[in-house]
Amino acid sequence: MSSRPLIQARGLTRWFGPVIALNDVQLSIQAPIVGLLGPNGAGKSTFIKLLVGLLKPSLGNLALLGQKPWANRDLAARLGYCPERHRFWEDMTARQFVQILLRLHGFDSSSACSTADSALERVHLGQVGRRRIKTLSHGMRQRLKLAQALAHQPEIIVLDEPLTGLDPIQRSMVISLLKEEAQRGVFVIVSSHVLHELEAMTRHIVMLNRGRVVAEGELEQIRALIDSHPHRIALVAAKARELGQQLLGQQHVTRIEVDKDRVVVETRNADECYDRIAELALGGDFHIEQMYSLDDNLEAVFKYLVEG
Amino acid sequence: MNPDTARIHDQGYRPFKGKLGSVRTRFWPIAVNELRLSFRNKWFKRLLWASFFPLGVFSVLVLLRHVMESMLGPSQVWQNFWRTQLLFAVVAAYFTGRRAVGEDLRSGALTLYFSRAVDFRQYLLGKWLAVALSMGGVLLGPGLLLLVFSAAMDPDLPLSVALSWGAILIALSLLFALSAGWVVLAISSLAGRGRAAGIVWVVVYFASSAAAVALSSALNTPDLVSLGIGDGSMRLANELFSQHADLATCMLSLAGQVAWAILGALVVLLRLARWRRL
Repeated sequence: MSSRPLIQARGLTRWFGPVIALNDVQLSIQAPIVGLLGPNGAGKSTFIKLLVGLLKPSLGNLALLGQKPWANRDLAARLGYCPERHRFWEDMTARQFVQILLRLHGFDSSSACSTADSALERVHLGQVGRRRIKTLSHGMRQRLKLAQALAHQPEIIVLDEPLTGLDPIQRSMVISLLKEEAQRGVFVIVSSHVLHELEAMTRHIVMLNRGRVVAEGELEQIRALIDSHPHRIALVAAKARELGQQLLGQQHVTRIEVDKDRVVVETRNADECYDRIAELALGGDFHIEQMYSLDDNLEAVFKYLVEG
Repeated sequence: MNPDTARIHDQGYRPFKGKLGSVRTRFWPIAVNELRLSFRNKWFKRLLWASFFPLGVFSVLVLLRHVMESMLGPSQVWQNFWRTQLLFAVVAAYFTGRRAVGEDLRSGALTLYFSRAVDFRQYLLGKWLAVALSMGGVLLGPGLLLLVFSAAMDPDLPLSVALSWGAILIALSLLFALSAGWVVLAISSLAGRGRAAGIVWVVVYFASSAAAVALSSALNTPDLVSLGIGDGSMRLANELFSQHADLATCMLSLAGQVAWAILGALVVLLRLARWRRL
């Protein structure tokens, strides 16, 4: 058991000339899988490069499992990094690619061969190990990068947009693989600008926009913090119109939309609204068949935080 | 989530338990990788073979010298041999050095190196070693074979002389690999494309000699010719293989070679430092 935060940032700032890529980031995260979410240019890749020690903070401090990543060989040996770009050493075979990177971790020649093979098998690339990288599809290259990040059994895996370019089957495979790693006790830090990708992997997210952290924590907790925005609840009921009328009388309800058998309620007090709906459901007058929140998904939360 | 109360529970992660090599030797896989990529080029392989052709010509000269005593002195054979092999070394540097750093910068492969326990020293040593080994292959390989042939053809050749020729060959190869190797890596780190870097390298190699000749004429100091990358090595070879080496010329040639190496290394380091700042 460890009490050290996985990521701890204090006033973390990084600029490139006149451009501020990350601005005064304050974070303390402990979670098996952390999702970094933000639109392009939000500062995700910069944050990831700071985490893996490729960049030095301009200001502030950053610690990964209690250690500063910059120029830290011990920590680098415990990291597996999957960069966003994927056009390296195209004349090399997939197997050689993983092997050489294992050699850079200190594996000897024979163990690098066997470990590379098993890493390729894990990402379902065992059949293409002898093919040159330039002949591999985009999705295969993505999985190859993942293989090199996993191969040396790192303690922390940091992935920059690992699902870009994957078809749904490959995406599902990669998500399962990362979840599997997390269940083994490996920390996974993954970035994406696609909301549902992260949602499928983790509920613990860090949202970045224009170099700043706009929210951090469990998705539901973040949603609960957004008091200024009404919560939207959808109900499916046989007597939808009557149900809508009943709810409209509540003080916390700001808006009702009725469409055939579906009612969408906007409320400023979700708990009170849920209690009232429960009462109405128990009464049995409206035949409520389904109830679900329209705001607990990442997209809605992100929209609230970024667009206001 | 409150970081003071949250805890991460060990769920069974176990790190790799096998034996790992020392971080001090990480330059070796980098060099091997670079050479492996160079060997993908059929022209590079042909160059390696071709670099042994002059060995045949010079072996005949050694044989003729043995038959006709006054035709050609041993020092002249070695001086001309070195002059010839340098051209192969320049082309070998073209193949292994042109893409060495520049390609990593362009493709983003540097992130793969430096996200591991690899630092600038290991990286640069590995890259230089790859270039040095390819140049050493075309300089030392045929050179040592010629030495063995010379010794076999001349049983009267004192062992000390044969050993000194071998030592001179090794020292000259190392020195040329230092100067030319770092210069070609510097050009690679600055150029946009590998082929352009290779062409610029060949131009710089010959232009440095032309500039050194022009400088020596302008200042009326013939020894300044030694400041060219190739001429410096050739003049040093001329002096070392001759019976009476001129120390001043040797030192100037040596200084020129070292200066090129330092200049090249500084350029690569500055380029990488800039990449890291960006």
